[in-house]
Amino acid sequence: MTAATAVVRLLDRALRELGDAGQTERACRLAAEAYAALEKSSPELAERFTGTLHHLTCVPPASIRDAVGPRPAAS
Amino acid sequence: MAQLTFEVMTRFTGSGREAVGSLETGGQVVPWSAPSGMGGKGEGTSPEELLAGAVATCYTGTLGALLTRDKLPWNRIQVSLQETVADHPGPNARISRLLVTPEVAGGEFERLAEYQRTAELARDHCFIGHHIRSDIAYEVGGVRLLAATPAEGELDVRPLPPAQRHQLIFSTIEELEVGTALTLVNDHDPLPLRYQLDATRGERFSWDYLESGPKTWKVRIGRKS
Repeated sequence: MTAATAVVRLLDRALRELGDAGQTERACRLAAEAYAALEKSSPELAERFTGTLHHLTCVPPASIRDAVGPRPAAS
Repeated sequence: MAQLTFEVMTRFTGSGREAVGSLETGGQVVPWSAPSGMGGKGEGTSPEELLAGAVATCYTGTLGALLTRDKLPWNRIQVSLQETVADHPGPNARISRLLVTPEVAGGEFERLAEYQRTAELARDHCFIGHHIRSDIAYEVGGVRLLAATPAEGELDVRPLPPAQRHQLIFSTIEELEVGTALTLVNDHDPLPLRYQLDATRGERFSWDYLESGPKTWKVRIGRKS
């Protein structure tokens, strides 16, 4: 496993734990930012965060959608 | 065997290369003149472009029919045609080459070689093309396949494996023109996609739920800028 893959896995786990701790919206935004950072240079690593997002949003979809609201503010 | 006839009417005023004309066809009046690159006024279309148009339209219709016959999916075909005039100016100037390059939206990417074969077959079957091929090189460029486009207004990703969905959606919405939209159909809430859109493309796209489960989700995604 490369160092980059290890860090990505670690970040994935941290974001899931952040979501489990009730900060789901914040975790989703960070996961999306991580995806954006890797999308061009390392798409296979970026896909890890697509999985993170699905995990986070599938837990309580309605509550997250309400939290997302009309349009997320820049973070 | 029946004999078919087709008629068009042209009018021409002025003199020499400065002249302009009009063509009545299909209930339309189309202005034309000699192209500016050949010393004409360059107003409206030109005989050279009309020849290109005749070939391109015939080729496009033929390609559509053959794709359907060969059970190759498509929902929109766009064909660009490049016409080359050689040895210009001079008495030997001639149309030497026609290159058609098809773009097929809504195709199956893994069948690209089949689309290419059918595109070349369409050149061979093209009725207008038959009449020019002895004098002009008539060639087919590489087929370009695009995801199903906004022309249909709906992108249903449910039949696709989850791993392929986001890339298809991203490539499709990038094809949207500003002010247009498509409806994404999915078997779960596509919220992850929305977060990714916001992170990667800012606020260029709008997002409106049309249907929210429990089995089907529909979201209207519009391109704002």
